[in-house]
Amino acid sequence: MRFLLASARKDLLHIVRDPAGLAVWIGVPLVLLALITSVFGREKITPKGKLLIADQDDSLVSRLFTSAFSQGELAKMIDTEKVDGAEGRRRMDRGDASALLIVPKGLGDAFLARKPFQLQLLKNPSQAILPEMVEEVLSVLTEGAFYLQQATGDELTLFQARPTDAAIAEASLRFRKLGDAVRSLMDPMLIDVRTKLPPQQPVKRTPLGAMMLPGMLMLAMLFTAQGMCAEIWREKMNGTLRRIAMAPEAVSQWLLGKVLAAVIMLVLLNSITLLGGAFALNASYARPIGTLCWSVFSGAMIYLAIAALQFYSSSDRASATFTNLLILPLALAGGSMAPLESLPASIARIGRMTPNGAAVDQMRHLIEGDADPWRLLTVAAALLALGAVGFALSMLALRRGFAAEH
Amino acid sequence: MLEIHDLRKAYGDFIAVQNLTLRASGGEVFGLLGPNGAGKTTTIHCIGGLLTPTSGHIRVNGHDVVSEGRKARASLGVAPQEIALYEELSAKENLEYWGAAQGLSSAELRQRIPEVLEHVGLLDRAKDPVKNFSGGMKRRMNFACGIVHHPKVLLLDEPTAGVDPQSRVRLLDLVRAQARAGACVLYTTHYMEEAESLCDRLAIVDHGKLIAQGTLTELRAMLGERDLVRLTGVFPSPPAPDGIEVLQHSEDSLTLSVAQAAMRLPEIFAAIARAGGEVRGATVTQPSLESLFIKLTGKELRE
Repeated sequence: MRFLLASARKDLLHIVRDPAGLAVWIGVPLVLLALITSVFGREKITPKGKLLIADQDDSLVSRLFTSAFSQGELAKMIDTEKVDGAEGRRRMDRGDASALLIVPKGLGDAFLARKPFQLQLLKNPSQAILPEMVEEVLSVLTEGAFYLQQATGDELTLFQARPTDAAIAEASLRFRKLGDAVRSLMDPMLIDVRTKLPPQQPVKRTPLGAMMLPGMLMLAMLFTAQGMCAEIWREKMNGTLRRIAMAPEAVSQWLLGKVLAAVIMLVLLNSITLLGGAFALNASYARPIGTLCWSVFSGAMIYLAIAALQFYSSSDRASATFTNLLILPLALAGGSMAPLESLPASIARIGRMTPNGAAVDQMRHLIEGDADPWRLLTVAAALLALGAVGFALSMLALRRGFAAEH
Repeated sequence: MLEIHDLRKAYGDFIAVQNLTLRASGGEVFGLLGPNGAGKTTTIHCIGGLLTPTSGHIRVNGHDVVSEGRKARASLGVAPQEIALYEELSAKENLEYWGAAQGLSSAELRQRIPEVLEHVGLLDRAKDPVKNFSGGMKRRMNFACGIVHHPKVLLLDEPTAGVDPQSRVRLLDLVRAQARAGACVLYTTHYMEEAESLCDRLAIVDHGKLIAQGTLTELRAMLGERDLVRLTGVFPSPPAPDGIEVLQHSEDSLTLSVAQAAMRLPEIFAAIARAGGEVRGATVTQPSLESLFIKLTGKELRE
């Protein structure tokens, strides 16, 4: 135990006395924070998408359909732009918009004649949320149109031809009667519906920058773990590891000392990052201590896994290359470059299965205060298993003479 | 104190150490000589428990290094070839760390660290980071970390590599002091002069094999008081006058073992001329470990 503490102290002194290295480790999360703040700001940002509308019908009905997207709350989230079909497809191919709605010629006539009609919607596969919203709205609109067709009966057919003023007046009266009839059913409702909703928590809208915080923190931890793991090869190259392996105290204490030093560094760096997140990104933490503990725990387990990679690399250069090759895709899929929620569903699903992605996902829930304890425990157990396997593999390599090999 | 019996270490088909047997006692400096790649460091790694011998046994202070590894390592002190120190830490912090690695308590370290630093002449630099030390000071510090726990067996793997003559003399004095204090010192080097001046007994190894072992006097006797004559020039065939042994021959160099060489040089030159050769340079060396090594292996130690 004494040697474990001495090892941790030695590693920490080494870090503290290398100001350039320490500055880089503290600087990475701060630079990321600054970048995110400069890009997304501190405000609550509503994602905004672009809907291209190719209205080939250009009728009263088609205009009614398409104008639904530029009204009310939807207008805050979706910008609409009229295009012709060919241009719309070209822009979709370039990924310039969230979706392209093509209203075919004849829609108005079909609607008024109570015939079936089709709308065409092309969605941008690289976006997850906004195209889905457009589809949902369209679905509601078409359903509404169907019921309107059913309720108004033949009255709609009147509008197919140019109606006379008398016909319009007559139709208006009939619509009025229809409205009165419907009102008698609905006001008061003939069906007594009693809705009992569970007490609902106010919907929280997280600033986008704060949404990126867990992933960014994980990225900083990956860099820190990588930097600290590089020490393993440095110790091997300068002979200190060989000397330790020839000492009576167990080499496992040397390795655990490194883990302890990593934990202490993570506590320091993650505290700075989380505080920075609260200040720069307006992030609020439902469970600040829990978030810090979770970030340090997951970081330590990932450190152990990265450490194991060092012991099975053929050289210091190979270990650095191998670690980089692993970290970058993990960071991409695991929500460190963009929030998991904004990734395509298939990538996000894979990302949540990576150690860093699963840790980021749970960290996000801890920050929001809606973590499922069982899910949290499951991920914790998986991370613990990863760390244990990493430690066991590292010890195996040390026992097989990793320190002695030149 | 240190017993190596029939040690063999193989990596697949490559045999790094082959049937090495030697024994060194307390108070003795035992030299392990050989060129690079002779198996010296592999032997040290096996003694230190870094490598598991393919076969054979090693006992340190009576403990088998494989079955009683921890006890064996507790009696060992090591000063490796590299400067195995943490350069950002001070001399005192390095000693605290390596003392903890040897299982010393805080109280023991408090007492021992000033003693060791004084012993190696670095007490006044105790708080300085090692990175600010000169090469010779780092070597002494490297040595100090190996003796902080009073080891019974001290493994010194080329501890003077790359140091200036003054620091070398000082280091050799420190090694002698350890032996005088009762430690068994295993000293590997390829500097013959160092071995001659320091070691009580020696083993010469090449290609993993033990080729000679004994005291300096015993080893010198193997040369039969013959001088070593190294010639450069053109030598189509080696001359063979009576009493001259050809150790090595090539078209442009010739090494001979000759009794009273200075007296016989004219005779040797004449024989070479008769054989169609030409001498352009000649060196006569009196019997030494170096000449013994050349006699035994046909090559120079630093080749």
